[in-house]
Amino acid sequence: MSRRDKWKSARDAMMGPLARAKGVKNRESVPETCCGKCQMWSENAYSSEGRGTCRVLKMGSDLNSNQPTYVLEGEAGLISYFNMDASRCTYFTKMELIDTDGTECSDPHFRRALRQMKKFNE
Amino acid sequence: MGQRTAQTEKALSVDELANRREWWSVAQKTRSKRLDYLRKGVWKKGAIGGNYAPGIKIDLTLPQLFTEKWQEQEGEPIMLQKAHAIAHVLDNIPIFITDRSQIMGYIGSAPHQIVWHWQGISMVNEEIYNEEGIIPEPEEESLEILATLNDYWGGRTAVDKLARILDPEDAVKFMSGAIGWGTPTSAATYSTKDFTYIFKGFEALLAEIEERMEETEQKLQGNPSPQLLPLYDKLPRWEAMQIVLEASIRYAKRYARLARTLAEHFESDPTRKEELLRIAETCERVPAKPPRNLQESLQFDHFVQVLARYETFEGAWPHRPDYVHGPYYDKDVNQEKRLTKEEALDLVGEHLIRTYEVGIFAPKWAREGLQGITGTWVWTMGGVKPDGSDACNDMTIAYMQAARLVRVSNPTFGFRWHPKVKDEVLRECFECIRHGLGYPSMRNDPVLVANTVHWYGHPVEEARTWVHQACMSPCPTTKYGCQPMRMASATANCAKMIEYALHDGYDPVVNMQMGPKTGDPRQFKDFEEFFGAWVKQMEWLRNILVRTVNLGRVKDPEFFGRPFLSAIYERAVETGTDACDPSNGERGNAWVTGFTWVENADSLAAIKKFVYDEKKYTMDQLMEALNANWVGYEEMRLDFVKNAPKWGNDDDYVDDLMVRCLREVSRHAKENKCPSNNNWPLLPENVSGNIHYANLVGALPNGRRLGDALYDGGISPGPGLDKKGPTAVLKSCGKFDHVTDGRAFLLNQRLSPTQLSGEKGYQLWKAYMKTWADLGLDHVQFNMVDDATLRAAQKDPEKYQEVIVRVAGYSAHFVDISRKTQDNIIQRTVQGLG
Amino acid sequence: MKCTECAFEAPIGKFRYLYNARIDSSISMRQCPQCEQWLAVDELLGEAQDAVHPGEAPWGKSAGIEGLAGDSQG
Repeated sequence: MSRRDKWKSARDAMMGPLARAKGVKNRESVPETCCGKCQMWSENAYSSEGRGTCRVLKMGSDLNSNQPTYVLEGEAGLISYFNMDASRCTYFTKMELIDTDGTECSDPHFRRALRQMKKFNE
Repeated sequence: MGQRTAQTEKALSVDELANRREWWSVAQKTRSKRLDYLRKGVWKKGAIGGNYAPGIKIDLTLPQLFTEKWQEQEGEPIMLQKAHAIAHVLDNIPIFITDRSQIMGYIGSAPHQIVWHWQGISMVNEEIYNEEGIIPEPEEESLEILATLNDYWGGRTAVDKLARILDPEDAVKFMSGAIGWGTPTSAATYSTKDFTYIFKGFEALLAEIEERMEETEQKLQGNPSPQLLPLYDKLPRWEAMQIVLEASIRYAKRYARLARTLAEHFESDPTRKEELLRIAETCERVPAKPPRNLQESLQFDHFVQVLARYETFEGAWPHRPDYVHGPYYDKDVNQEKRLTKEEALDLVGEHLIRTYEVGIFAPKWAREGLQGITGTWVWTMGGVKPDGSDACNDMTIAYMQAARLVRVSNPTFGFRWHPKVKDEVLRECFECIRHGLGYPSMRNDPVLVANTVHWYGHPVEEARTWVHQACMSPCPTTKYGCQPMRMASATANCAKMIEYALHDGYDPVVNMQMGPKTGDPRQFKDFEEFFGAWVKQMEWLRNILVRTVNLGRVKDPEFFGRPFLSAIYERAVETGTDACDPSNGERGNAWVTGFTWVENADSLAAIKKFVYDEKKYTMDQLMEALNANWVGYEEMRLDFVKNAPKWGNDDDYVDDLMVRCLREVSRHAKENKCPSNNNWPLLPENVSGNIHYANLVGALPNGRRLGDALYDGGISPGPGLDKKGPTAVLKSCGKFDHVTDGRAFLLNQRLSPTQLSGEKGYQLWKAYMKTWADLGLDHVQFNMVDDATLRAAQKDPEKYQEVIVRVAGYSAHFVDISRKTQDNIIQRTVQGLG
Repeated sequence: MKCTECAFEAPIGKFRYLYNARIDSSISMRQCPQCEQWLAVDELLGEAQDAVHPGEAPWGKSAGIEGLAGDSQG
């Protein structure tokens, strides 16, 4: 795979809205087990619309198929969304301390200040 | 402090409050009833830490109006399509007049609402959808509207389009959030405006455009040739300019009509009735025609700023209002005696409040990096005229006095100091600082004029017109000097330079190979090899940001479109181009903002001393400690903090490294070129980016851990690490050339309010400023609020709503910044002068 | 390390690191994962010293001319 093609897949994953679900229902859905509740997931600091990066899995991993693919080597971490279903991910590790208060400008590793996450925590 | 009862508080006189340095209470007692009412009634639009204040809601009317017209006009050239959409907004957005107000115009349909431009960045559109607290009630209905808007704009925004043509590796690394911030589109940018041109009045601009169109149409009737072809594209651009200028005049007249209706049918107070009729007359006059008096000039100015923000997010507010409005003040107050000084002060104070009132939704990174404010609205005061003579006037003084009365955190002022500034003006600057405003920042005008000429080749007469383009960087306000679009995305998280040199270009925080593989430092044979790795990482980091911005800049007319800005830009009107088109004669005035810069010098000094010179620790030991985030290595960490040389103590060991780093960057700055083929110098500063990046920069050899705030300034020493006094700080900062070694350098200093009280305090400060000027520094700004007040404000924020601090390139109300930022400010060294 | 508020006990790394406002001090702020209280922690000793509330300063006064700057206005 050329350098360009390799990064192109990462870019396409990053340009969220092109790949995101449409409408209210999909935007509001937060599965019981999702990336946003995982210790391995960090919110992206460039945009707080729910994108983030996995600390373990690399680009090329696929959690959506029936038999997930786990890529552990590579130059870029897997980009996913806070409400992406992670129920099939064997690396999912539940986060104990989720910080939903954005006032303190907290660590993107802990911070989940999205409206949907707050609602879920209530 | 904090122990008094409400009764004793009431009993305190203004003098007693001043003696206690409770300047916020002094302001409340001395400002006019009108200013007090307007100040207390204004909504807080800056974020508190990273969140918006309760009650602040996103305005859904603007994007809906814009989008419905935009969709109707689908297929038109973008500037024309956009002009129709903006005109539709201006004709239909609800307007209101605040009681007792004299200056009209607001961006949004209600005073508690903040706007956003859905055409800019779909990531931010999604962020708004997900944001807690800002969705208007009924929430379910609003979410439907937002989802519909986002579904339409997803993939259609300027940044979506740009990301498709950026190199994909650049796009991913840029948007990782690790190395820089900002958005490479004029959807989130700021423009310098030339009021000598704009104040001709919009009718005159329309006539000029009409003339250009007629001339061009005549040419198009002539012999066919390749030279004629580009002219076809100019006509729709001029038409777009006409549409927005005409809509702008109609927008102002809507206020005139509302004010007249209120006066004639609803207002019973004869004084207010008269004011409303004057407002009506003013809004009928401007911006259509040139202003004739102070109220008209302020109103014209405010309309221009508001209208510009109906087109885009203007994250800064480059302006020199004392210079622009000074002649009108002089005419009204001194010559024709149309206004008393107090009446003029009411207008000037309201000008500050109306500006503070402006709110535009900012994504989380911008809220964290600009806590407490909407944007870096640094207004430029003082300075010189194009012929070099003193430009300070009565309006300079009026703005300083008004600032102390209304105590808003935005706008703030940057004062262009020069040797001919009169003592009475300098005293006004000092009074603002003494009152704890944190502004004006003091700028060394002769140095910055020379710097502007050096880096971009502006003629000296033009360089002398400069305003702060954002927090710090001078930009001329002339036809070819004006910068229409400065994108904050040329902002580097410079601490990553040293971090990547240590980690072979890998970023352990975002889990990505970012910079080039410069090698494992454990294998480096000497410091020179390590420094070479640092240089490569520095060049890579700057290159990726500059490449991204350059592309965003040239594609902006195609992806975003600026009909309003073009209509008020002389060179755009003359050439029939988009103001953001760099081919229309702009000289270029680009710079890379360098956040988190000083960590490089302190870290390099620690490595050089302990690993290479003294061999006290091996690189392997250092890497182990850093990889553990210093946990379990506290003694070693404290050794690196306390016993390695630190910037700001007049210590050549580290100061020489700082100078060496700056010179490497300046060399590279001339290799990077902007679309106008001009240079990209570095401008080290932080807003509250040192807090935003605290969790994005790993442990460093200066002793910080992942999570600790980075140093606060551009060349400020680390909090508490400048132990040799203020002169040593100035001497360190004076070791490099503030003309040729970079664009500008932010220096925060904290002074004692007790020591600087009274006349003696002023004289001490003035002597300090002389040393500062003699050493050729370009910038310094001060905090002068003591620990006790700030700690009391942490404990009881409601009582200290108007306490202000200087954060970095801006000021904020102390209660509006996060605890980490507050503690970082309190821990800055308090310097004793004299 | 033991939380001074809820007595939760765990290795220091389990307590969320917040920040150290003064780089030359061994005192840092950490957050208890159980009760979420902010704690002042001595990193040299690995001990939680006390809970930190608004207005409290585990690092003491600012550096510099403390006698002048730290005075009370009231």
